[in-house]
Amino acid sequence: MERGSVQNTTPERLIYVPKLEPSHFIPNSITTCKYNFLTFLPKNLWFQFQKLANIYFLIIAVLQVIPQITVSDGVPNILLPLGFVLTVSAVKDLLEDLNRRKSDNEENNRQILKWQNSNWESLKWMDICVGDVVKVRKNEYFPADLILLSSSEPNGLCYIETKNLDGETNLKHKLCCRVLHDMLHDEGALDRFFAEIICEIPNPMIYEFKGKITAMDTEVMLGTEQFLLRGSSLRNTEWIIGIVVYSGHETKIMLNSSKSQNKFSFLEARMNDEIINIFILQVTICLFCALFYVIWFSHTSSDTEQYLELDEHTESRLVVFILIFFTWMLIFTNFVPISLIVTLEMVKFVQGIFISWDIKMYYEENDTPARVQSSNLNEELGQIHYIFSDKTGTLTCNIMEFRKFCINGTSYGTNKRQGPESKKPAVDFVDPSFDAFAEDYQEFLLHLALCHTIVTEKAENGEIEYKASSPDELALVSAAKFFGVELLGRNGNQEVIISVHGEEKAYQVLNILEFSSNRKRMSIVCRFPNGKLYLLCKGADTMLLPRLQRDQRNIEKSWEYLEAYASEGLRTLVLATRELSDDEYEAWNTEYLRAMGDIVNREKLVSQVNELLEKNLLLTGITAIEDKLQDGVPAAISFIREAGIKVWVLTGDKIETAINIGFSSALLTNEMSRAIIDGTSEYTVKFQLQEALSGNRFNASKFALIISGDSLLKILKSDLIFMFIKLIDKADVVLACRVSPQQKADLVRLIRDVKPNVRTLSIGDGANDVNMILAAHVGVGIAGLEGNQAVRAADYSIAQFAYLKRLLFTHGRECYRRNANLIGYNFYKNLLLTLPLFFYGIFSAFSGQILYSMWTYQLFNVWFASFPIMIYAIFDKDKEFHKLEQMPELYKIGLKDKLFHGIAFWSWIVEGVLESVVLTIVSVYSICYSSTESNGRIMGMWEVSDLIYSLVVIVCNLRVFGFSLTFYWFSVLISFLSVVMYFLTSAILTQWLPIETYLDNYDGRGSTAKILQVANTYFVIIIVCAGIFIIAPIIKYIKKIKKLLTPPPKYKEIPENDNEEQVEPDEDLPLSTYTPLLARKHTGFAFSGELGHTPQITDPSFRRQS
Amino acid sequence: MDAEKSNKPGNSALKQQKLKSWSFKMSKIVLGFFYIFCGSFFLIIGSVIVSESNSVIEHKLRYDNVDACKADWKTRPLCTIKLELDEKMPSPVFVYYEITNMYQNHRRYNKNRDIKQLMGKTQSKNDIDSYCDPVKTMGDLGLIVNNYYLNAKSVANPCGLMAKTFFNDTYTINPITSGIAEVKISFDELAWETDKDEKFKNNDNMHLQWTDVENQHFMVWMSTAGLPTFKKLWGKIKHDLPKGQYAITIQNNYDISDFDGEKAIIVSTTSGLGGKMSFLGILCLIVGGISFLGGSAVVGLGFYLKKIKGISID
Repeated sequence: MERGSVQNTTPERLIYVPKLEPSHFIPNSITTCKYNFLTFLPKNLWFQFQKLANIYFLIIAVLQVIPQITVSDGVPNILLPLGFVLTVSAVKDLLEDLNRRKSDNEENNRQILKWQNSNWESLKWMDICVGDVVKVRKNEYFPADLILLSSSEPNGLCYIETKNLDGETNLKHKLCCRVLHDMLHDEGALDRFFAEIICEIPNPMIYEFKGKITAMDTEVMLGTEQFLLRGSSLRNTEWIIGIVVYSGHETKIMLNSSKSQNKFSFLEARMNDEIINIFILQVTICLFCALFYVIWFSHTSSDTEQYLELDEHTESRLVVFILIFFTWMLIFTNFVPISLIVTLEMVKFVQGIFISWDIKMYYEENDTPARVQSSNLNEELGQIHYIFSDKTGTLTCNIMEFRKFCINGTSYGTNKRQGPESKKPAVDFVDPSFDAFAEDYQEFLLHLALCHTIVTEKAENGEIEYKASSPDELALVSAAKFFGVELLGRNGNQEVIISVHGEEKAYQVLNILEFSSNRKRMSIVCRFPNGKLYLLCKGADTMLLPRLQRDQRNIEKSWEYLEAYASEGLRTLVLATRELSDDEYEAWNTEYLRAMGDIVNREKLVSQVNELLEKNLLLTGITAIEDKLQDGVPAAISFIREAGIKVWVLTGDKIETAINIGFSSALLTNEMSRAIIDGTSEYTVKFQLQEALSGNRFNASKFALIISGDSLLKILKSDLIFMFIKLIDKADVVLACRVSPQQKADLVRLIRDVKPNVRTLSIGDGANDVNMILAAHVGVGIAGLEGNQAVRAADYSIAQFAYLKRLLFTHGRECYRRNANLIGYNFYKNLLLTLPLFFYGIFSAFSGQILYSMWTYQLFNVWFASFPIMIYAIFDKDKEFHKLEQMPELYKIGLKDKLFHGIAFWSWIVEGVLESVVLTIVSVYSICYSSTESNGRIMGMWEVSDLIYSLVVIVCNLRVFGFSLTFYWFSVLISFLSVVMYFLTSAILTQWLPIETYLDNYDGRGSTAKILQVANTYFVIIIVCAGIFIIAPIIKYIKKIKKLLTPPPKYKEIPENDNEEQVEPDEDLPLSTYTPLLARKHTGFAFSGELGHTPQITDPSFRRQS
Repeated sequence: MDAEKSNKPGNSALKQQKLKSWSFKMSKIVLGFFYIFCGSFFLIIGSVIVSESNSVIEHKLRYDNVDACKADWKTRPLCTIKLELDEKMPSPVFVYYEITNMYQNHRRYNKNRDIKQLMGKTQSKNDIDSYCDPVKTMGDLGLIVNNYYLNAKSVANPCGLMAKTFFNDTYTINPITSGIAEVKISFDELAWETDKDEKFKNNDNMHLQWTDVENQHFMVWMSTAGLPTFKKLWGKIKHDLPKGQYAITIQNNYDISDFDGEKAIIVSTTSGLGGKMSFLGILCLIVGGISFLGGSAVVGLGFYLKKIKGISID
């Protein structure tokens, strides 16, 4: 143990135990909420006024109080909608913040035992400080980042579960320092415990920790083995004692919590662009008006002198120009649909609620409905071009099921599935011809039950639970149990207790030769009850074949089966044994212990020593495990691809595993040509890329690219990236294997950079997918049994991959359709409202005459024309939802952005312009050109204004029906009520309220009553509505006839592909019938263990026997 | 107990978006017939409006350019023009004046009055300042009054540009060869009820006013016209005007030369739909025609395509 290695690297933190008072470390309480009682208002307003729209509002309000400009008698009535917008946002923020506060409080108020006054006292988490000695009991979470001092286990081990951190459910172990463990095993010692800890300053490196503790004059180095992270929990261990080293926001998990940025949907971004365009249009119109007025004024100022007496501000044309310009800006306040932002937000929120209510996305088994975290991406779901999917836990269940095996050249296990009533976990084996009691098979079954690193745990109901670091091992041990050879547990003497068909036997495990990714195998040395020593080994076929005895029978036959298994998409393992003599073992063990004792080169030496033992093996059998796909995955994937979405699978798994899954999930098909890029040097990668690019494969069939993480590393760091981009452009399917979480995100970003106009979606379940989920336009988390890191980072969470289909094709597609129409309609609506003011300018010399009563004007987007479109956007259905999920071509409207691309959007604008011209001119001429009643009286401007406004309200409310595809009783009613609401409001203001109370409406006094009592009004309403609604269907019809009469384009290529992809794998048949070379060369082996998961002690200092 | 805790969403029609709904999917042929029906409806309405409009008898006589009224009208404002009726005008007959090129709806103009003052309240100079500028005093009005209540510096009541430019031509109609003794023009039903009841009230002290606010000519004038060429109701003749000649004597006071305007007197009857205006009727005929033709085309083409070419357009 070298001194000073810590000091030299980073600045460090020095902790004394017992801690010094006062503590200069931050407390352990966490606050993720943004506001408190006092800061809420100012802080929230500050955030809100960073939005452009709100500033615009504010400027308008200021303009409104300037007397020369105001069109509302100096009343800043824009503050009404502004206040509304601010309040809605503030309430939303407040609710969110209260939620955060609640979860903060929950976490801060959890209880923990702290050593204090010679006793364990229960404290709140937030009262814990750096330097405190705490005791964590079984199944409790660690309150802060701790250093492990001692554990209830005599060997100083403790097991932790990190599923909140990385989504892995398998247990990991931590190990006390022997010295400390012995020192503190007696609790009384804690009172006399003095220590000084030196460690790194807080940093976000979750897998790294270095430190040094000096206790009672003993100096001990600390590493990750002694470091317990906040967020993980203690399992399988009664208690541990630890010292807090990082607290509160300085814990690694808090330093790692990435603040998810607000994501905007493509539609919303487009909308914002158009808002700017529309604003430019507004300014242009206002400039035009001002210019027109100034010219008119210059020409006629002497003429109009008599009645307008304009002379007093004739001194400067410029001043007139500016004043008129700002007046028009005020008149056009509603030209830019600011209310749209609020409407859209509210609508999306409700859409989100409906998504989470969808029972078709509710997974009964783990009681998980779909959840919407950021509903502002709803419509983005309808415009996805690329899906990046994780494999394990996303496409697959992360359940390995034992399906088949081969002993002595005979294969057992059929393609039949077990019925639900007889189903056991991790096993799905049906073969009546197999007799589990037959003597020949016992060796194989024992091998399954013995050769693993599984820890058992007695659940409360007395059942034995297996805690495995690899689901494959779980499948093997479960299979043994299924066949009657049950693993019961381990005892303190490193003995494994196994019930062999009801008879308990103890097998002494002497050594575990660990798995490593290089070795691709693991072995145990075990003394059987009969005293004989055996080496039991299991591993990948490529590793074991050279180590098998040459002259065995059945090897060839077995290998044929192995290939068959692999080609069905099953993961295979080869089991082999060798009997050892005591002498040989003892000699080897000495070597082994020496190797273990070497701290520097331990891994290398141990691996060399292991080679001595793992040779001349006898083949016991071959197992085949199915990486079980989630329900409906193949169907969902082929449907998604039919719709034109590219699917990439990014997995940490090996290439062969990924390819197997690719086939079983319908991602890869036999007809596809494949290119595999797995070179590890730049040169080989380049060669492979060239090879892949050169072939004429692209014309012939679909093309799948399979790439490994190592190659990717080379590609992304060099010029090869351009070749790679060319290649992925042509690929229909991409499988990226052995990629790190960071690489997953890099790939997503690569696509986003290369193709800025495509939308990406990442779907995953584990913490390793968080990066990719955050990097994509839309992140979807699979909410399951495992940790919820991914779900927390995601925008949407669903329980099953197959639900993605419903999420995209029903909700996404419909939300896109509705929201695109909603946005277009809102622009149209506001144009229709404001442009009559402009067109009326023709009759009033663009003098800045505002026709509408300012209050009704501002209420337009609140009361009179906001509800029908909201109802539309929430309830409208193109087709019954199940039909949407049968027709992939329906998704194209979103992919091609058919409803909101340039022309689609500007046609809304053109429509608004045209209709407002019609509306203005028809109203003006039919009301005030001549008398409209038999009493000969003539109406004036204010009646025209009332008629125009009424028409706008009616047309806007009816227009929603123009693009609605479904009608509900309430949608019709709401439209009707909106119109009625206007007339009521208007009648109250112009008729029923005493005139003195509302002088603003002096001019319009009685106008509503006047227009409603003349027949022309009704003719105008009917004729305008008819004129507006008659034209669209005729245009549509003409287009259709034209299309019918032109020869249909060639659709021939499409059906071919459709048929090809629609083939769903039949469950009873082998999952795939291909026999590619690949499968022969690399059979996927079922083993994904990791170093450091051994349940037994590899640290020689703890070994009792030695 | 577990069932209650379940996160399972409710299976109601609302939550699953399966509420009863209708969607209109008319076949194109039906749609065509619908168009024909609507088209016919509009053609009928259009014809009614046009014929109603045609039934109105209207005579418009521009007089600002008539020699008799033109020459030196400021000193000798009386002039006479001739109205020839070639058919009887049934009662009621309305008399309008029309002014062109005058922007009553100019933003500056129609706001230039004090509402409270018009409603009978006595307003101080400060009160009216922001509304009536630049016509605040009697002096600003250009009226020379000098009595106990009013002088050049006292508050103009009513104030503002609108009141200042109050139209003050008057007309009398005398029959020449029509067989009736006189033409009585009444001024009591010119303004709207709201004008009379709510918007215009004389001040309790009428002497403070330079004109009668409750005068219906004033009310009519003060109701902003919608167009720069506007008609305003001036009088109502409650008896028939038989065929024949009439002399219209004009008290020609109102100066329109400054803004290049024209003045005219209009004598008109009304139909149930008001005065002469075929605009709306023609519009109805156009829309009806398009709809009818479009509908016919859809039906015709639909049948043609189906029968002859075997293509269904739905």
